[in-house]
Amino acid sequence: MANTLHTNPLFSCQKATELLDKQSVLKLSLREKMLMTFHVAICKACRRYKKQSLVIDNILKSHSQKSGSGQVPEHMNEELKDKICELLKKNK
Amino acid sequence: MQESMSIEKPAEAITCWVQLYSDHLYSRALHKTSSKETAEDLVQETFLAAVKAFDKFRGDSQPKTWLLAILNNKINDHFRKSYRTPVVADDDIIDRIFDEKEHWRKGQIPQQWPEADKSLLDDAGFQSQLHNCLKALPPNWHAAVQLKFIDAKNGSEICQELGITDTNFWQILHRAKLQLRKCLEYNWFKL
Repeated sequence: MANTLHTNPLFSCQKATELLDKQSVLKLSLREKMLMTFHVAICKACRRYKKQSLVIDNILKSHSQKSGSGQVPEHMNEELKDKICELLKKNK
Repeated sequence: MQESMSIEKPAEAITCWVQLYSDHLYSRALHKTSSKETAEDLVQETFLAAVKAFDKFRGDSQPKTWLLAILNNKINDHFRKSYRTPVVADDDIIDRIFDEKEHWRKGQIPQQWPEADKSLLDDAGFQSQLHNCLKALPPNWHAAVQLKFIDAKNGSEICQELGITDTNFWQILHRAKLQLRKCLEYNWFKL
């Protein structure tokens, strides 16, 4: 029975969050946009998702643009360095 | 090779570069891939490619800059490759998070995150948690996230470059975001 019970897309949190993330890649159609805006206006949980999704986007953006130099430099295994040098000598 | 530059044999010059720059390259690769093994492989590939392309190194850029450019290409290739290698998901994250009425399941509803008084990224603890959460994603999901934010390209450009459909890309990105959000909330904010 449950399968025949279609959720009205206006009240689907699944759909709304999907559209929120879709929006970051593609332009939404007018219908999608209205659907998402309406749902977010009435749903506290999805409003939170929207906000946190933006927070995560910003974190990932700066995480991926930071060269990694701002943090403690990592050291590569010395044996591997030697191995690479050996390989390079063979490849000249 | 003997031209105006007084650089000896390429292999010797580059061997010296291995000592000078590999830690830096490795840090960058580790930062982006969150995997020690992958980072090591990428650094090795970078030096091998550098030897082959040594003729193209003009000396008007710093060796470090040149090597980093090669590494960045290797990193992007790596993500493209893992994006194209789909993993079989044992259960769909969508079903774990939403019920049959398409509402958030109990225990999955986003909780209020405390306001951060400083940038989360300046927090070393948060950084390492973020790494763990990224690492826990299936490889092609992780790749989708990285590809989205590398060079801040727009979605359609990425898809074009990868030769994939837009639909597939944002759906994977959506799943990755759902899981990442949950992981950070649970492990970092402890909610």
